Amino acid sequence: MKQIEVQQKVLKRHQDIAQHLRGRFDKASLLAINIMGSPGCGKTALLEVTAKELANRYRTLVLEGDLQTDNDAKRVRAVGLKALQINTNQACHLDALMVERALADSKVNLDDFDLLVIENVGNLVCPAGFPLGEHCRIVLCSVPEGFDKPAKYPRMFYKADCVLLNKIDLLDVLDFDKDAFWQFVKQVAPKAARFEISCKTGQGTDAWLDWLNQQRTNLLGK
Amino acid sequence: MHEMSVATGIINVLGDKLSQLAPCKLIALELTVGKLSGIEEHSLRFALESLLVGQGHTDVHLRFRDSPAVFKCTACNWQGQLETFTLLCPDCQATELDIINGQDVILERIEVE
Repeated sequence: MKQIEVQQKVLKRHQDIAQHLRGRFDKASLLAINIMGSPGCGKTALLEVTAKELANRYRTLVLEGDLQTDNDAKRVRAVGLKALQINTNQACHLDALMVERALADSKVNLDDFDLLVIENVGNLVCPAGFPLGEHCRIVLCSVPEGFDKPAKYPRMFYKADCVLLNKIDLLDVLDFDKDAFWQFVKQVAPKAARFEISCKTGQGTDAWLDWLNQQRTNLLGK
Repeated sequence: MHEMSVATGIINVLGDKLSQLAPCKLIALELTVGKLSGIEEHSLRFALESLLVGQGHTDVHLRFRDSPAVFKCTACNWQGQLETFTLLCPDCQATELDIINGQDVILERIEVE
C-alpha cells in the first residue's frame, strides 16, 4: 500500500477558469457582474425595468442561467438586450466553465460589449461557492422572502459588493422588518452598497444604475 | 445539491493524479471539508461513491476531516475560529473579518496498491 500526497483544492479548476475569464473581461474593458438571489426575487425583472437605461449607457450582454427553458433569455431579448441562455441541466448554479463555453459557443466578441450581466440560477446557497470571473457580486433579495435571509444564508452575502432589496412596494402589506434586514446585511456584508428598489414601479433603480456606472468608471480607471 | 459538482471536481483531480502513476488499485481517499464550504458530508459521500463506482473504483474508503472556520480581523489582527458566520470581531467589534480558512474542499492524499 502506498500513500500519495495530493493536497489540491477540488474546485481549483473552476477558480482557474474564473481567473482566466476575469483577465478576458479586463482586457475587453468589460464590466462583469454576477447577480444572485432566490428564485422569484426579481433578477430578470431588474433587467427588464432597467433595460432602456442599460441599452442607452452600455453595449450590454446578458447571460441567463437556469436549469431549463429559455424563458428568461426571451424576456430580456423582448426588452431589447442581447441575451444568451445557459441551461445547467439540473445543476443548481453556474460555474466558470459553463460561462466560458457559452461565450465560446455563441462566438461573441467581448470587445463588442461594455457590460456583461450574468444572471445566476435562482438559489441562495450554491452559487456563492462558484466564482465566474465577475468584477462585482450582486445579491438581490425581495420583501416576500423574509427579513432574516442574510442571517440564514450568510455565505451568499459574504464579500457581496452590492445588496439590493426588491419589491419594496410590498412593504406596506407584508410583515418585513426592514431595519433588521439591513442590520443582518451589515453583519455579513459590511462593505456592500445597499439599495432599495421596486422592479414593478421602478422606484430606486436610478441609484442602482448610478452605482453600476461608478463600477464601470472604476474599471476603466484601472 | 452542489455536492455533485464538488464530487466531480474530486474525480477530476483524482484522474489527473492517477494518470501520473503506474496502473494501480485505488484503496482510499482522504478529504478535508471546510466548515464554511457549504458541503453536507453525507451528500458528498453519496455523490462521490456513485461517481467512483462509475469510474471503476469500487470499495474505496472515504475519509473526511473537518477544517475549521478561521477568521482574521483586518482592523486589529485578531485571528481565531468562530462557530457562526457573523463578521463581527470578538476582540474589537469591527466588521472587518476575512475568512482565512474553511471555505475549501481539499483532496489531501490517496492510498493505492
